[in-house]
Amino acid sequence: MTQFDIEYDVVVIGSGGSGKSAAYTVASESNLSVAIFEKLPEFGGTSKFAEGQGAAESIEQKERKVPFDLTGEGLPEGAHFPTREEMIQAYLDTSHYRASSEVVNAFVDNSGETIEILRNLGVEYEYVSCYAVGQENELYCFHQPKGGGDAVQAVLQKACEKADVDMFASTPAKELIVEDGKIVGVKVNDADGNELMVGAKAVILATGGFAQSPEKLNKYTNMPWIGDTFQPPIPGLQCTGDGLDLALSVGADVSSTVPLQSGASTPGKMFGAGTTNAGLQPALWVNSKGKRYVNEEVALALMNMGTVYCQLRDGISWTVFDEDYLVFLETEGSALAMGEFLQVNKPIRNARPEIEENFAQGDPTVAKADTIAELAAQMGVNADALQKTVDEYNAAADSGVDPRFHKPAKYIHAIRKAPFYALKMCPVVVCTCGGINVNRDMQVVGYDEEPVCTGNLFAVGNDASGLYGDAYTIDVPGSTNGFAHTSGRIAARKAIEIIKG
Amino acid sequence: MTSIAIFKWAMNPHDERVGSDGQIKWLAERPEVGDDDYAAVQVARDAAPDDELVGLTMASGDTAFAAARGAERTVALQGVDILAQPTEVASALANAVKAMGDVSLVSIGDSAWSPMVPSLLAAQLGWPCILAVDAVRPEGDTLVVTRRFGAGTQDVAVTGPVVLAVAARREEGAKPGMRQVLQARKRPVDTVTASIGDVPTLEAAGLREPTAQASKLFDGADPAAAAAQLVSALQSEGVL
Repeated sequence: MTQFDIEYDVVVIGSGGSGKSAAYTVASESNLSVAIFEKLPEFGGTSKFAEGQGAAESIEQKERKVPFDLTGEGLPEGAHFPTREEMIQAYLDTSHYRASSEVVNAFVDNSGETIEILRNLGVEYEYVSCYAVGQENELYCFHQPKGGGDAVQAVLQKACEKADVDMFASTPAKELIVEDGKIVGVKVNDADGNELMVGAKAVILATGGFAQSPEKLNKYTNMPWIGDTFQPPIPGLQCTGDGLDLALSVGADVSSTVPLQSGASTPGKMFGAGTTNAGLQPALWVNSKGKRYVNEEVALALMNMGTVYCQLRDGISWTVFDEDYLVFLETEGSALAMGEFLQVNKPIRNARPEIEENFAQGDPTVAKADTIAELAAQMGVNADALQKTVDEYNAAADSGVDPRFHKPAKYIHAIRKAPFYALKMCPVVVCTCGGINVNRDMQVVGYDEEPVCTGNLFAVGNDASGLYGDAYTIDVPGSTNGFAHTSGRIAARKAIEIIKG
Repeated sequence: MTSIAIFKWAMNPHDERVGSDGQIKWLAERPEVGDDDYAAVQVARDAAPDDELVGLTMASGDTAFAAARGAERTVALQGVDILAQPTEVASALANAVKAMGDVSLVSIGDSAWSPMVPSLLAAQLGWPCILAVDAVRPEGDTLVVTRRFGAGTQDVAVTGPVVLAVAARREEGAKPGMRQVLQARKRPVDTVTASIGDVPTLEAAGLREPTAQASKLFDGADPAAAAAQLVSALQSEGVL
């Protein structure tokens, strides 16, 4: 029998949105004791950088009745807040039914309550709408909180503190303690390196996935190169699959293909940077061989664009355009929207100054030249190949027909007026979305689909599989953060039920 | 002799939220650890390493903060309204200090959250008060207190009981680990009802918005001239 340094009813590993939601639920809906163990010096996780939460039939949607018009030019015909059934079907259809119906239904059915709880705690929602304007089929389920994810996590942390949740930073969980097939606790290391044995009647894994582990990215995403080509956009996070490791140690079943929430940006920069804003546009994209490889209109479907970039074996793409196009971006604006980072049809004013500054500094991610050949030399691509690609592209611009990829004419701008620009882009992995298979109560299951141990191990948020198939569901914005908060609560309620018998 | 380090005594103003409808809501319902609290405990320890160190707080819940940083015991005051006036808070703290008997020093965070309290506390105790304290070192019967002074620091020699309002320069470096916290929770905590004397209260005489000031623009075409103009403007504003 293990001698414990301290015992709690519920232990939560990870302090992001899913972990804090789980802990807050235990503390506020029962008299059980609960502690959060966070390996970093700060609480908050990836959720601090989230934008909003996805939900159906929320109190916000019911009160507002119609979605917010993000463009100010009127909502498209038929725009409406989705029903639960519509949201559920979006997950299933988009994943071709590879998503878990159990997990999808559990999340969507409880998603509205998440909004109400956060609102009651002090979160104020600025609007409820879609996310990427112009992205066809996107549901109007995105709840944008005032202050973004950081504000939501601050509110949730206060709620946890107020509810006397014990929270320990710099205290990573190292091992699950199992006795007679039952999880009885967790071994942790405290900030001073001391090993402590912590007793628990239930353990909730909320460690945020493994987006900062190149090895696990290569192993679990069906893209065994992605760990070497991606860029994580959020410095400081350390989601390295701790929850996955702990779950595997007790026989959990793991997904064969974990989807990514991905995108693209200039290497070394984040969303919103001038070169990223310009580089994301559906201009001409070429790979490291100087060849076009996709209908660049995919830029308007953010997650699909991320998937495209992630499939580049060397992670290299260049966005090529001329001076006329840069002026177009400065006057007519962006073709795509990306939440608070980029607004559709709004002029992009930070691209040129950044391009000029970076080029003057010799930044290798920016090429600028008066000829295509010189441009190719700076890019490090074959000049003949690039010239051929540009010639074909210009022919498509002149004819209004893109025979190679069928991109609509409105997105094909000829490349003729010097100077010519090329902006290097790379895939960005925001987070991984799954890994550990769970049932509708977020209990970790084995290959036989039964809860492992005695059902007192849970996985939530980005640790839990089932909401998606092999790709993030672009039609349901706010999925990741909505699922984080909702799944934490679902797991906590089941843990309470199990402990109380 | 006893040294007292006061911690977790003020409400965090960032927990006050004003909604779009003007309604005020507090996210927290009790004082929380202030940015200076760890430094206040450190100063109390450094000032009198051989004295008993007692933590004094107005919070409920986890009160092991000072104990985890070396305090032998903690006194938790109950019954003070979280939105009490600074005079009332100072009175409650002063009476708690007096009740402990032979106290040589009280350290408290030089809190931006409730800046009047340290001085009022000293006034209630009838002791001198040094603000913006950086560090201390005992020298015989004298305590040398380093305080921020202008652009630098100044050493002040003090004898006798004193209130030190400590201003931390940075975040706490090495926070106590979990084992240390768990051990600290086993140290004694005395919960006492606060005693607030007959103290003056502050009343708002009115509200006004701050005076709007025009921005000053400097033409950066000549960097040297722009820098000189900036320095001159800062001097005229009393900043330099």
